[in-house]
Amino acid sequence: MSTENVDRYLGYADAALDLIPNLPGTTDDIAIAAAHVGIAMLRALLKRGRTMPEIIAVLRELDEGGAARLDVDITVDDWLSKNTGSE
Amino acid sequence: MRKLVTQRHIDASGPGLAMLIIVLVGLTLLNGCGASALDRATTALEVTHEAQAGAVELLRLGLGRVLDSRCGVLETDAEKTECAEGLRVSWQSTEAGMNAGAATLEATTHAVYEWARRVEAGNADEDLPPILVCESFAELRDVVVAWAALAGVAIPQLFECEEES
Repeated sequence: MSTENVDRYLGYADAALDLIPNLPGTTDDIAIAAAHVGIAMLRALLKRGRTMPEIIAVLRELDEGGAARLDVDITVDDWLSKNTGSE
Repeated sequence: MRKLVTQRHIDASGPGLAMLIIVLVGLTLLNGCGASALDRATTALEVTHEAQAGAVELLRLGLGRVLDSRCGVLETDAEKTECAEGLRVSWQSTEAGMNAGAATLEATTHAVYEWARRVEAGNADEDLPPILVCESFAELRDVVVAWAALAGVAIPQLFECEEES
């Protein structure tokens, strides 16, 4: 892929990120979250030809940060605290 | 000797999530762009970490919506609590699955990080992934396929280990 194409795709990603919060009548939070994640992934995929220090830095950050986990208890407890107790 | 390969064939069907479609398009763009195997593996890990975070966030939002629609319409606190507790139990397997995926992702990341450190020290080749890395990616493949199934998108295989001829 040429540098010109990479720049063009990154331009699309930036334009889409700017557009999403301003879409009238399409405030579905799940769709917006999905779009944000998709664009972030696209931007990551478009990175090319990194140096070893850059690669090491990325991997160190990912290794130290760990992966996201779902915590059902927190979500349910938060919901209960907001939706009960008013009786 | 084994090598890491990225599969190009993609069969996306059904409504799916926009993010997965973008990933699939991105993965096809990834092939043949001249980056080293280590660089491609790093990019794949970045993407998978993003996907894991996105999937967790989407599931959290989804659970919130289910709570609102099923339990929020009930009148008493007791009814709401009972309803929410039922959902808490029914979502435990989803939580366990996502968190097992996170553990696999972390193990793969660590294996690639160790490989990168050996490359940096001049003790490994950035285009010849160690078998441990290759096998970690093969395990991660199952996680990605499970996410895609959650969204109604069929991905045959993203990564596989194969014997080098």
